[in-house]
Amino acid sequence: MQYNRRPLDTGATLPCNRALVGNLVASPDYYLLIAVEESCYNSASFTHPVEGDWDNRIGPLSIIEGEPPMMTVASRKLRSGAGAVLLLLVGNSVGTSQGTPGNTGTSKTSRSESDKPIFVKDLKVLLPAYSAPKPNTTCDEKLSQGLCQSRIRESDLWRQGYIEFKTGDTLLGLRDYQGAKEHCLVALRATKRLPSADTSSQPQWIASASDHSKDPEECVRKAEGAQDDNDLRAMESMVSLQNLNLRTGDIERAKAEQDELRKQYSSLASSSVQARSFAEQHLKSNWSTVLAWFSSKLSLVFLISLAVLWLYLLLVFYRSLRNSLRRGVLGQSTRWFVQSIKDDQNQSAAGAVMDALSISGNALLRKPFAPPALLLIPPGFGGPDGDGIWWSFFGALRPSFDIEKLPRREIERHRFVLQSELEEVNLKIAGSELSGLVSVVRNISRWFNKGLPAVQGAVLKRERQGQNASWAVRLNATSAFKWAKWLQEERDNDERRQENRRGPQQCLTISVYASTEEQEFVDAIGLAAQRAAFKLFYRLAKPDKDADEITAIAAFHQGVVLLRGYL
Amino acid sequence: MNKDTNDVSVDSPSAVRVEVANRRQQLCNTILRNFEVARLNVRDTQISPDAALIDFYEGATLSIPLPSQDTAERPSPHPKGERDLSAALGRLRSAERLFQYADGIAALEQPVVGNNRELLIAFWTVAFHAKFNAIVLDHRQVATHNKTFRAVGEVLKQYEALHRELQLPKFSSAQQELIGVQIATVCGLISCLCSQLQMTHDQEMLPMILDLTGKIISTKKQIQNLLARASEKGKGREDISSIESCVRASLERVTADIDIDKAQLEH
Repeated sequence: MQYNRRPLDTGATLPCNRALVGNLVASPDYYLLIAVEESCYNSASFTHPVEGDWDNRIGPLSIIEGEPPMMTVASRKLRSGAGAVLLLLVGNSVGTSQGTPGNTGTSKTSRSESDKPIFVKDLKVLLPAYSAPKPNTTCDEKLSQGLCQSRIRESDLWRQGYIEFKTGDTLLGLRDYQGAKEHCLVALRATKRLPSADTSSQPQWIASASDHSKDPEECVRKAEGAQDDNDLRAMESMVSLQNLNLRTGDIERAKAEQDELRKQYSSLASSSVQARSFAEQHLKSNWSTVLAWFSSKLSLVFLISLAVLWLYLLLVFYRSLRNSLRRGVLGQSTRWFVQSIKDDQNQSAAGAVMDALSISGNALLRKPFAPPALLLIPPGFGGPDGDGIWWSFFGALRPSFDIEKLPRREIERHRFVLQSELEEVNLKIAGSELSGLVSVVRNISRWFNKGLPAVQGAVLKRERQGQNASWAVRLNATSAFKWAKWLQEERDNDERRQENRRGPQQCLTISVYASTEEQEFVDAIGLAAQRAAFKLFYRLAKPDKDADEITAIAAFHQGVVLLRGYL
Repeated sequence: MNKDTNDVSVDSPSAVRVEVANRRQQLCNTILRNFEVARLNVRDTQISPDAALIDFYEGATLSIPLPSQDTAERPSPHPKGERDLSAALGRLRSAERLFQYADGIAALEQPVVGNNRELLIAFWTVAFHAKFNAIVLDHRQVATHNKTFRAVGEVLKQYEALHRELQLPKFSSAQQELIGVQIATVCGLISCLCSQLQMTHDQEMLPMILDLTGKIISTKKQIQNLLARASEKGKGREDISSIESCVRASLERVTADIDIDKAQLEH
């Protein structure tokens, strides 16, 4: 608060024709006490503000007529927070002056200099500090006594302010800015309670202050400034860390940093103006920063995504074109990729299975295969023991039964190729095997061959208690819908129309199984592989054929082949 | 011992025979298991023609002679000549059921044409083959264990019945396919007749010699006719010469000790 003020000794005696105008800052502890000389009292008219809203806040000033009669004391306990400009007129011929609470009171009189009102700042008198003058003392004595008491009190305030200032100044040197500020503020308050009209009357301690600050105000200012700098640096550090997390894509940690920043901001002192401003700015622009970061990356992400998409589409197109070309080039035949043949017993069974998957290698599929006419030779016409068999006696041919017929044309449309190149590759660099690379290449290869006809096989040994073990071969063939449809193009139109009515076909999956008991002189794996391969060929050729019938056909053909080959 | 299926490399001839015999036995087991699997997987095994066909081959497999006495070195479930062929006979006779299917087809339409005709002929062929093989199995049993005039005569009757059946007009459309079994049947006939002639001579039942000789001459003519017919069709040249030599050898064996008109027989 700044006032156009003049120093006034509270205990001074005012001429009768002077007006005392003061700005009151109310406090429950302060009372207004006005002493008026007796000679003036009788001719004085005391006027107090009664106008406006502030009148109600101050209330009417009461004049207390006490003893001795030459002293008239006006006393009023003010309400907390009230403020007013008091115009106290002493004498008969003074004007009025008033102001708004908290603002400078302005005299509106136009009298001579001696008639001008004296502005008083904080016209406060502590009632307890006031000791009533002794009876029968003169007015001057009473005033001197009051003045003395006032000076004693002033000295105490200076002392208290000095101690607080020195403490704050020391803490300022120690960079305890918060503590320095608190002590210097106390010193400043003590200083402001002293009359400030006469600067020459200020004590010597201010002049002998340290280099940190010259007075409490500077001490407070420096402490606040340094604390602000510290807070600002802390905020900047926090923001930098958050930006780093954002750049590295650690959104969760960035959010945690943001929460911490918000918490720190709320605990900042009001004097940390720069730090608060910086934090406010960052807090407001936090998500915009995130968005900006994303925006800055978005173009890159978009470009990469676009490139990946294009690459994917290109590869899909290439795969489709490759498969179509392969289909067109191969014409009427289908190439099946045998991706793997598991052989846990290490029987080199892959060779037997692949041999069986070859039309020329599988005895059940060899061409020509006509079930023979079989006649036992009567005794006297056969061997020395009366045994023997006539095979196809006199070229006896007959029409075949269903079980004897092979759909050769459809069977010959399928070829099986072992895709084992990648399995065999072992790259070694600096002594370490790059099996992962092989796996990656294999998976890429599988992706390119996705949908193409593929076969996976396994050779298993089945142990049975009390019986001979048997060897089993399982073959699983899969193909995508288009291929499955193409495989069945040879069906007549009626069947296809019926299928179309039933809805789209699923991907083709065929699983066949065959087992042969392990016996001496018998290649059980080979026999099982031949039957499994035969069943696979047959099921591909005749997808609608009952699986049990195909099992019967395979077993029958193998029986006849063995019968013919070993007798 | 080399256990490779396709290779035998042992020193002793006896060991070779044991090896081959055991291998044959194991393979027979495998073959029979295959046919068993096939039969079980054919739906409705009691009436299916496929099942009857499988039975035919299974029966034929069971008729395969088991290893010689050399196998005594290794335990065998069926010593020489003791193999139970009843299962084989049962299988082969079950194949006769095919005649029922053939009759069923023939009852559907007359004349039978197209695929049904092919199926009909297939049924007849396999059925006659099965029937013939069943007779041969009986014949082999008789020749090995019960070579009496009566027993051979029973077998002879079966051959004769089969021969007559083959000449029925309803099978005339399948003569080309059935010529093999016809010739084989006549071979069985002449084999039985030769056996009877030998026994007649051995037992000095002279009155029957002339009758049997006449039957042999008649049967031989039938063989010659059949061979000639087969020759016209261009079939089985090797088989023709083989049968001719077999017949000649059989007759020579018989007539070596018998005082009959050899010229008449050889004519």
